[in-house]
Amino acid sequence: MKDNPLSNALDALDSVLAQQKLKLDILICGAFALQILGFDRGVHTLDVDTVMKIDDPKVLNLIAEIGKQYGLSSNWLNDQAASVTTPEDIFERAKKLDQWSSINAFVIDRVDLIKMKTSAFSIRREETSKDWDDLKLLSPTKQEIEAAIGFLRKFNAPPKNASKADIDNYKETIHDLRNLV
Amino acid sequence: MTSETLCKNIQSNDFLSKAFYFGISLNTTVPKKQVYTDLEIFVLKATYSLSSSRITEGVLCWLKAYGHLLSPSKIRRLILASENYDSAVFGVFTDFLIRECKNGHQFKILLPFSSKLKAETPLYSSPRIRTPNMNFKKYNLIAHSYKLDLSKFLLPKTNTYKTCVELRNRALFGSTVNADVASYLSYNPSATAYKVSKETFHHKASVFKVFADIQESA
Repeated sequence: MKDNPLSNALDALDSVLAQQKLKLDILICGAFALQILGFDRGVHTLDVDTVMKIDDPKVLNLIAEIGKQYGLSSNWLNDQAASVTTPEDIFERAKKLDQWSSINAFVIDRVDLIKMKTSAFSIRREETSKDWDDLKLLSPTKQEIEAAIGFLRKFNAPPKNASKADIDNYKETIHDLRNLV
Repeated sequence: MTSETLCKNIQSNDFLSKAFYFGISLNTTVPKKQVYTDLEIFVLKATYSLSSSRITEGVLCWLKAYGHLLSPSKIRRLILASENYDSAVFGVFTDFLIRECKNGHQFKILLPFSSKLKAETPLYSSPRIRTPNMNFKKYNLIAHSYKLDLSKFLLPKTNTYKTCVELRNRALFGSTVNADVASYLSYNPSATAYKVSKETFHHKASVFKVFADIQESA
């Protein structure tokens, strides 16, 4: 992770948070989590997704300021994923990252990331293949993909009165996921 | 890893490195090169480097933001000089530039260099796309319906103009020749007019006309 622009920006953010005696809690998910977990062969955009809300205006300003300094976008660290459904007890399985003092950072557990990527794939499979690409990198086992399908059934299954097309699409997604392993 | 795979990876890393240099927000492990990088060559190279939806979306966002700085006549000249490109993806890019850019009609001169594939072909590997992107389908390419989120796929323009002399000079100068000569000389101040003409793919006569003024003013 050395010389990674995002790691460098997080280091810088940690320093300024410490100077200003501010704290920030983040649970890293998305493609940057794949990198931290060691699946770093893929192509990804230069941003960090966290499932924890960032609403302190001072912290948001510092994030934008660091982004400017490091040539990243103003929302390089963002909470867009805070609105998505997460697997239960996600925080209990998340791994604590020790390299920062003012950023209380965790990285999502690999199996939870597989569940979230599965859910994202079912929602936006017509717009992008990035969730599929990330799932391939994560190389889930048969058991893990079945657990992810269980998560999908619980939170993203079409309603009983859904159209035939929606139900067929949902079935095809499950079929594709099973073919991944 | 086979030599072919290794070669593809090096090519792909080189493309990503250039994409990052030109302001596309994608990770790269290759350090930025301190050499002149040609914008039109980059666009032609992009036509056969779309190996994932992230790269494709990043390139389309870039064309939307910076396409007006490209020179259609230089692209045409490069193609006529046998520069490699994928004519189906090039068709998608040309239509996109015509549609999305200021003065997009200038890109119409490139339409004869695009062609449709004989059969439907996925742009990259992915599960079946139920409603393929119509702009790609026109050329028999099957691709996703991208959202084109410029804030996600592009680095801030102010930063890109600061770090990328080739784009900055295109934005500052009215002329593509002047911009490219100035950019090339910023990396190679002692280059001859002949060398600059060769490396920037401009006619010798055009370069010789502006070379002395630019060299002296720099």
